[in-house]
Amino acid sequence: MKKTMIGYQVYSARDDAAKDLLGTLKSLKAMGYDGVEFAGFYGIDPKVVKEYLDETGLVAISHHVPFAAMREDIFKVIYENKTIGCKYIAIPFLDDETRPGSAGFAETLKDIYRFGKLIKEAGMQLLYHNHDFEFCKVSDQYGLDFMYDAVPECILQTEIDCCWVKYAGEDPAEYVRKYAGRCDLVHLKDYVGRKEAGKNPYALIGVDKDTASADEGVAFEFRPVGYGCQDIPSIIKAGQESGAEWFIVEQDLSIGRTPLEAAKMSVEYVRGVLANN
Amino acid sequence: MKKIMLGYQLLSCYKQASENLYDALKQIKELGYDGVEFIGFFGHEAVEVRAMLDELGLVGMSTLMPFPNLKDDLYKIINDCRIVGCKYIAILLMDPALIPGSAGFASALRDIIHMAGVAREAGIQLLYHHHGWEFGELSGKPALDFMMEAVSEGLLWPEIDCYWVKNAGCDPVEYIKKYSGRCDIIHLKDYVGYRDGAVMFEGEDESVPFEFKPVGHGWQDTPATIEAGIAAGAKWLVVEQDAPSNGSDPMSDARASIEYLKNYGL
Repeated sequence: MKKTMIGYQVYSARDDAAKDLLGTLKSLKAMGYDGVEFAGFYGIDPKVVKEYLDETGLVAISHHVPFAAMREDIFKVIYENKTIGCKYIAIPFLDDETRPGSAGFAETLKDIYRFGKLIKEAGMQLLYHNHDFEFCKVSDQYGLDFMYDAVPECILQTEIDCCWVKYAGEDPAEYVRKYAGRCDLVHLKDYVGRKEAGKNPYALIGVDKDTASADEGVAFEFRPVGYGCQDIPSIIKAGQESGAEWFIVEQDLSIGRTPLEAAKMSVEYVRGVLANN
Repeated sequence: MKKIMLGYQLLSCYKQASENLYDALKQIKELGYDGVEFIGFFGHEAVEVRAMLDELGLVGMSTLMPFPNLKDDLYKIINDCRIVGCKYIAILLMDPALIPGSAGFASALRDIIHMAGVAREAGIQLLYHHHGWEFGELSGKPALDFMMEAVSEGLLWPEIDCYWVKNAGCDPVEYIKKYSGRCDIIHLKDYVGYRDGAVMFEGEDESVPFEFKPVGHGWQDTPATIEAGIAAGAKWLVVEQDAPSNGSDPMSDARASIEYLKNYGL
């Protein structure tokens, strides 16, 4: 059987990465990560990022590229990702004017189709990384499923974020199985707390406008993988049985410990689960 | 050159066309229509159909095609259309499990995008012939608009059916304007009266029994529709009448429709 690889979404340690990308990558490699998924290059030339990767021996798995940046210049996005050698490019998020349920969603679909084809032709694969807002109903099914049904597998694959699936009230392991063969990358993300009316967890991570303050969101907290409410072994098993090649650790915010300390706890936990599977 | 070509949808004389396609086409030609839109080829081989059209001097510009047929037999249909000379295929989505609002719609949309791409490679434009159910809301807009926006521009165009637009409470003229440059074929379809589910407009009498009518003889503002079509670059106005008025012969209504259009100056 092919070795299951463990990746790290660099967004989880964005402050460290912004200060010292090479040092951060070295730390991640030393902890035992096989590869990284980027969320921007912190102003560093992609050619230099590629040199860092070669120096550390980490695989460039994927890149979270804002949808607006793809719309602005998809060819630049493709060029940059070919430069660092990513096999995947992921749409990380959709704002409230482009997401399922909004009037802009039809055009979003059209562009996903176009970008996915161009990315495919360039030898890479487009992914969609979900949150919980795609679990609204569009034409009698979840907006997330609508997207994956409306666009062929070869053009769009999933990058199932287990945290947001569970947060939306669905079972992450089942969701991974639902997209067997279409889930090369799975996001492992743990948390405690539950969804509360009027609270928006993205306010915690500063990517979405919300009226609720961060203080009101204390019930919800991101945790290192294996230290929250997720049944990680069942998700990993589902992933392995569904063809996942990479499990990517992501922790949007680390409370009470540095992101890299949390990253170490996560990778050690995941290694342990993989060793027992 | 003519301002716009006049076509006839053979669904309007389905029985006659099924019994004797050549005879039906001949009558349509004699009435003065420039071309016909098929709904399948009534069991004939494409080469036979092409021979009939050539003999009569009619153009077979398009064919309506139900979604399941196109899904199962895309390449045969494309091949037939290339032989007959159809430049358009107008898809019909009727299955309640696939129409907008149903959970099957997303996958139907994916298939339509695929079909449209293949048709484009074959030099055929895929059209979407709507009914009333494409005017329900889907992610913040009427489903018909959702489809037209979600599919790359140019791959899928609407075949605007003036009856169904109005039935949904919308203005055919506005819809034609909205899709200016993408509405090569417009279905003119006239009627009087109220039908279940239809949205009534100011001044319309709900007590009038529903009936399809020859073009220009009902409640549609046909002159405004024609002008909007010409302004939007439409190439064909296609007369479609789902059922003849007063149980009369479809051909006499077909005559009334084209006489109206000729008198209008087309």
